[in-house]
Amino acid sequence: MNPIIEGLEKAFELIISLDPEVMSITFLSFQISGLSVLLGTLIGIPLGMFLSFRDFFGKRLVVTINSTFMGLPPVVVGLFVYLLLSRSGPFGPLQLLYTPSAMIIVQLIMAIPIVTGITLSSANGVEKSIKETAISLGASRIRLILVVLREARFGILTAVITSFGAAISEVGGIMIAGGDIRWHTRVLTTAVVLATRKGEYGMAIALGIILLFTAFLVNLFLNRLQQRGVSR
Amino acid sequence: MISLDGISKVIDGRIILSDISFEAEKGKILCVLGPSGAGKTTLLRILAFLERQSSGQYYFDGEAVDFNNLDTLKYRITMVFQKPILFNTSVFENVAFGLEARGMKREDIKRIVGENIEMVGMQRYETESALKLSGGEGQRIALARAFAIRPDVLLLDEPTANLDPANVSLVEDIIKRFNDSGSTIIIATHNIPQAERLSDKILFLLDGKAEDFLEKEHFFTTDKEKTRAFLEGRMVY
Repeated sequence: MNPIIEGLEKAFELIISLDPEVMSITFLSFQISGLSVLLGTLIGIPLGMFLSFRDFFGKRLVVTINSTFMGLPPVVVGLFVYLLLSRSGPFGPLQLLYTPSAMIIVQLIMAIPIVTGITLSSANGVEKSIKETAISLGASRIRLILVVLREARFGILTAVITSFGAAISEVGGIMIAGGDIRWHTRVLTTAVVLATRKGEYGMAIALGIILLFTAFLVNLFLNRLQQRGVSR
Repeated sequence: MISLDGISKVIDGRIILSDISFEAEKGKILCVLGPSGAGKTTLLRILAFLERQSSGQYYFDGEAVDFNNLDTLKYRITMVFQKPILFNTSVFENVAFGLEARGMKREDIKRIVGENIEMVGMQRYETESALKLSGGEGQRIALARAFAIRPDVLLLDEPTANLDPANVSLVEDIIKRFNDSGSTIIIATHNIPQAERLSDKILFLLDGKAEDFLEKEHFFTTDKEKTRAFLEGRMVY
């Protein structure tokens, strides 16, 4: 039988039967990406707002560095985290290498610049007259920041969703730092690579379908957000 | 209430306002009249603390304004812009904004917002998204939001410039009613009939200079050549 047809049949069987390994891999993927994006959001939004509201010496350089980091090659981040967490590295004693925590660190390093950069451009995109109206109505500095956050909310949500999309589909960095250990650090992308190498196409396609479906949901949500933003 | 003494504003070497002095009396309507580019908006922005003057002194209730310490003053004056600027939230939340900024209790906010939305005839729209409103409706909500905080001084920058005649008359009526409650109003406009309908006093601005500052009755009968040329439509700008 054609390996694609055979693989698809096996894939649907694995998904419909809620295969424990497929479910474990999927759950861990969402756990790691979700947590790293949550932490990235908690750090990136205040950073983006700070860059938008504060003028300081070297700000342009900081913004340029952040823009560069938005396109960081994941394997480079993985290597960097590996060196830091390896036994001879400065954080070796923490014994985090080849754990979900190491993978979260990799994805967090990638998420922060994305959330910061998109938050910054969304906040800068809020009309000056909106800020002036808020000031003219007596808004304090904190209230003014909240107004800008509210006005830029669609852009900021886009930042969060984009960084989640980047995190869940990332493979190189988490493979280096997480080690792709079965039942422990194996996630959707690393499992697809391994299953393909071993010729387990059913497993690879099943995980691929879950990844694709996730990407579809992320894009569907993004499109709806953008439509809401346009019809404002 | 408000007085300016020799206010000038220079931006990138260009003189926008030159040596402006006047006094706006409490409870009166002052129209800053002049053609486009005369410096009316810049003048209002200085009065609203959105820009600093390059030179001269701004007095509020006889006290020199310190732009580094506007803690109490910032609650006493507000500005409504030419294009209605509304926050991307409901009509209610827009009108409530200034009251929330003053730390008012929620039940008081509800009552005051309701009263002011009713005053501008928009009670049907309270829960609607503010950004779905038309230009006229949006301007009425922007006015309700400004009235709600009961400012001592209300600054209006061309409040009816983008409105149809029906909305112009509605907005002017709202402005007069608000003035009846005792607030000082300063309106920047290029609309001569509007200045005649609304003002107690008129400051005529031309190329950043105050050409005239007179009671309305005297303004429209003045002999000054530039003022007459503007009033009679002989001024090309």
